[in-house]
Amino acid sequence: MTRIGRLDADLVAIAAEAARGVLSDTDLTLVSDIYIASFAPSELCGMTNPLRSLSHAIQTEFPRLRATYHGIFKTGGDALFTALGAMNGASSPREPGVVMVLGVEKMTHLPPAKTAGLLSQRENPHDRAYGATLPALGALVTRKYLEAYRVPESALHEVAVKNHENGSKNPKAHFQNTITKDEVARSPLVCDPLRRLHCAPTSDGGAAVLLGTSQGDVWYRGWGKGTDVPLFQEREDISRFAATAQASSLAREMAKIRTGDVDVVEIHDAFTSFEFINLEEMGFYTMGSAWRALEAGDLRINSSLAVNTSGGMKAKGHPIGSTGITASVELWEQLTGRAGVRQHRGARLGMIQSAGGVSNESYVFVVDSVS
Amino acid sequence: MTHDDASSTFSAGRSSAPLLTLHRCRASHTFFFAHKNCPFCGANLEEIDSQPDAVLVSHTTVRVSPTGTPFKLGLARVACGAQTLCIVEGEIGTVPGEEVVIIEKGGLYHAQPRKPR
Repeated sequence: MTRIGRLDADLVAIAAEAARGVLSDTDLTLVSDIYIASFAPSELCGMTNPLRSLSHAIQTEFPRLRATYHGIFKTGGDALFTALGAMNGASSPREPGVVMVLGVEKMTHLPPAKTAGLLSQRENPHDRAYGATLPALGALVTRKYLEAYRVPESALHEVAVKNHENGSKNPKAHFQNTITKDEVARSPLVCDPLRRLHCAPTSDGGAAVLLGTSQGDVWYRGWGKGTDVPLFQEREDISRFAATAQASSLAREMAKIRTGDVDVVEIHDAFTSFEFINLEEMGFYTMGSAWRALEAGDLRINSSLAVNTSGGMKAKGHPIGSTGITASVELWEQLTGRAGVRQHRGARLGMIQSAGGVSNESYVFVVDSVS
Repeated sequence: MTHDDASSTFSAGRSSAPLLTLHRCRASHTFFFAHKNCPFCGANLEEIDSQPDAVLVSHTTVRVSPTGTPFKLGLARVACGAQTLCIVEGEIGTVPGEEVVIIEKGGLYHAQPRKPR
């Protein structure tokens, strides 16, 4: 995994670095398939054929690779979900060996407003006609959520403070500074009630993981995908994320676990309210109550459930196509005791939740420590 | 066909704004968007008229936008349950539930407060 943040390297170089991180010590003849995710390489980096460009970058670095390339997937969660499904025998035409899943994004080389405009081209044309950017839709969700469940706005600040605290312990995080509730409360409004420090940044970065059918350090024990209605305005209740509930239910059922078994979670927190909503939809808390758990000292490293130990998208950063894979790397570090000063004591079972758009689709993975 | 169930929801009766054209399936799923078929049950949709009175489910002022010009975005719900994104005009409170009137302008829906502040 590369450092996340504002990087000098271009998209191709970031992808190559991410690949080097996992392939350098691997028998390349065993690598059968490579899945690549990048959300907007055409819009942000002008790539007309991103799969060809990125596979060429990897192949140039490792000329002995004879893998089949798959993609481009929009998100790391999407690529990981598809790769696991193929390895599970659902759709792969041949026996997979070692599979690499790589996510990469380059976003910070353009002015933020231009990046937002280019990213909005990937959104639903109907929403785009109203100028409904992701932060705008996130704000509509957040206002409704705060009102429906009487969640105080200050709870949103606390998530940002916690995730920056975790990010400060992650040498690869975009933001490695701690912040105070007061700083969050005084940060400029982006789309009320969302303030700048409630929102994940745009980041550059890449990450890759290797999956194999033989025993490794961790085990993907279950996974699921959920989707919501295509148009945001047609959701029955915009303060709920039906896709996350569906994905989580499927993943838990496949893994045969209960939420109470889980020690550590990496969860979609593009906006701090989303951390609460996703936790609640995954069944960790009843709707509208996760903020009370945070207030009582939970959701933190070495509490009963550690959430976003990496710093989450809020502090670790959000290179969109890579985020689901960076979460996978974080859980691997947590479950194998490699997370250093942010190690959650006794982490044995983890979950990843990764979403696209305003939870238009959601992916959930259950990851178990082999030991 | 006139779908007339908005009248009982609003405190000050109906507005005089033009009726809205919505789309409804036989299972009463109702939409602003003109889908080819109902996205929930697949049935054919018929056009219905609806009172333009609505409540704002949520709203925000978009301060950072690609155009650089702040504007107010909302999600409004008419009495039959259909919802639409809308550009919010005028002054509104911070708590969801404000009564508005939906008007179509240039292919987009706009929400105006029913009770001027």
